[in-house]
Amino acid sequence: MPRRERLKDYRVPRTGGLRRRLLWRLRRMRHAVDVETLEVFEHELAAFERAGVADLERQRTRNVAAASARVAEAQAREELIRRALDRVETGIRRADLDAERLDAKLAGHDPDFHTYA
Amino acid sequence: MARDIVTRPPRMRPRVGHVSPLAHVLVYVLLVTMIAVDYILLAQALTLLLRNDSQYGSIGVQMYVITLGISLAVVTLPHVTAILLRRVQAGVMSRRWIAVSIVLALVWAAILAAITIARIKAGIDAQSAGGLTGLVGGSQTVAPAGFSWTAPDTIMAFLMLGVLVTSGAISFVVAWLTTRPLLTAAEKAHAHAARLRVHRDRLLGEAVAAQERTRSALLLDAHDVVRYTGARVTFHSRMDVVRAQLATRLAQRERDPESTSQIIRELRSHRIVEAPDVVPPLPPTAPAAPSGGAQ
Repeated sequence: MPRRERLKDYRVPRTGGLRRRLLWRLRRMRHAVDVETLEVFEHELAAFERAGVADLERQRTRNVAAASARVAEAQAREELIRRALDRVETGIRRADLDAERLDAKLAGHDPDFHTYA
Repeated sequence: MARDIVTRPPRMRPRVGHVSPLAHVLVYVLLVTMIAVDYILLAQALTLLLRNDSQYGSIGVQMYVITLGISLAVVTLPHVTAILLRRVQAGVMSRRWIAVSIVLALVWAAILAAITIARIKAGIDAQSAGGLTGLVGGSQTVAPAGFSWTAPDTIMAFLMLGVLVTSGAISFVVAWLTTRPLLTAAEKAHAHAARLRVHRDRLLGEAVAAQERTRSALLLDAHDVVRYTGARVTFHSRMDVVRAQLATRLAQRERDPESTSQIIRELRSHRIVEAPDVVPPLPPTAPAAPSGGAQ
């Protein structure tokens, strides 16, 4: 499949910045680690995790939209082709009928012109 | 780029063996125009022809009827002749109708000859009579002029004859061209059916391609779900790594081992409690559990 038709790849949020920030803060307040500090850390971690999950969700939603648009387009085209096929079938039947009628005329027994000749 | 046969199907004639309605209308417009031209021309000519009577206004409707009849005949007779010949040629009518068509052509020629001769004769008469008889004081120069090729009335008569013959020939040619032979029509009908079949085959190919495209789009979606799950797992494992590093650093830095273990336990419990409700429900494929042995 060409690259243009693929859905976009997922970009996983990087955690390097968060880790550096947390470790730096830990180093700064090394002597005062207590439950409140832990709460703050945990809160920050949870917030980052939620933000990352939301980012992934967003990418997933975008890809789902693209894929469903593609599916809808293909199905509309299928429907169009089905209708065109129906019409062509009707046309073929009528053309065969016309050809048969003309052949009958050529063969000499035509119901339309018996009164004239 | 090839033409898309679904959105823009090739033009095909809806009916075979018939003239298209537009051509039909155009043919009749042409015939009516010819009749109108002939009518105007003949109206002038007949007025001149009967000028001795028309100055008294004694020929009212009669002249109009005659004019209309002659112009109709001049245009219609070749048309009917052509149609008869075509039908005889196609075998629809028997060969005896050729005689009828020849008679019609002779009638047409006779009408034209009569009109021309009468026009020339009227010119000669008018010239020998010296103008309008009703006018008094006209110059009475009686010159017994006979037939002359260069007399204005003679020239006008032949010009009129040319116009009439042209209109008749046009109607003949139109009828001859629009009534195609039956054999050609049958061949066209078969070719038309064959072309329709080819078109249907190409449409079937297009349908297969469209189905393939739908399936590939659905497949793409399924693959995307898998990739999304992978991305989620990766992200959660990264977060786990961050937590683990943080806990390790805390454990290293902390003097008190009990407090450290308390901190580590607290971090881990937070994570385990929080993990399940962070994971959103995924579409049908099973979501990977990020909470387990990712550490």
